[in-house]
Amino acid sequence: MLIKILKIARSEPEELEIRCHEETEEVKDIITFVKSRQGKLTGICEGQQHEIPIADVYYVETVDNSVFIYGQNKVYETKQKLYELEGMLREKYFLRVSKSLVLNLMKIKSIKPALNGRYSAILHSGEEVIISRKYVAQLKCALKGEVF
Amino acid sequence: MRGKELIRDMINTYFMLTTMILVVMMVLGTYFMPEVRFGYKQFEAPLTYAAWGTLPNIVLYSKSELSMKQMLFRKIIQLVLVEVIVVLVALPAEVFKGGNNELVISLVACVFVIYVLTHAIAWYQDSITAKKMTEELMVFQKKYEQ
Repeated sequence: MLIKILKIARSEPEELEIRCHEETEEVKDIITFVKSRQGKLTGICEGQQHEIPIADVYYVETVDNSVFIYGQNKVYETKQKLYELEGMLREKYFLRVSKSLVLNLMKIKSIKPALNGRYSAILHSGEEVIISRKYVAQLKCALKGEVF
Repeated sequence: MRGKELIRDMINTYFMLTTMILVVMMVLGTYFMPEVRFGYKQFEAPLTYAAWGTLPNIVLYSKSELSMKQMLFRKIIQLVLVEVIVVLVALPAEVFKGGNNELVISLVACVFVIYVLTHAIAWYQDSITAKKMTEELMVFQKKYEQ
């Protein structure tokens, strides 16, 4: 795919146009990436595609090889891989807290113990997610501002 | 708990159990049989019992992250298995021969107390850490709030 960058005057609005023969998975990936950079993720809920503001996402989780985005009340399925989302969302204060879960630190209400050196994060939505023992040290560093 | 974590945990448990068994032997021995003297052979006992007592840790193994309820359930199974194994391993020993029920009950009680106490201490330490992390979280959220 040929890439052209055209510098425009500050007075004009910035735009991205994709000229393609058909909307392939590759094109969809590019769209998803651009949207994520604009603070939005794309997910499917009840057969419909939605744009979810990143600030509204509580966590992203892999369940049986599918990746789901969890909002306050809704769950969206996404085609993106967890590690891709982890990299993308890192600068928005998301952190991996277990093998299958990337958590928005801004949505945690409190933290409590969960047996065996693990912790449980209580979210503002009332949900609880487990912080695996392996990721506790990284979380501690993140809260001290050493990760972001 | 995954493979590597499980192995690390089993090694930790083994050394912790060895120490605890020595303490239990000292306490029960002083109370029930203060006149008994041991030979070098008896040093094997804590090492063997600890190895057996480590085996139930396997019930905590899981490929996926266990929920709080699942973990609690497995911990209870672990405690029951530890009790059964300790009794089965200890019963053939000379001191338990002759149906000394009081000693067996004391042994079971000791294992229970040690298990609960170990977890209570760990829970207390984790609670302090969790409280500190929550405080740091509040500061973090305030700092990076948009």
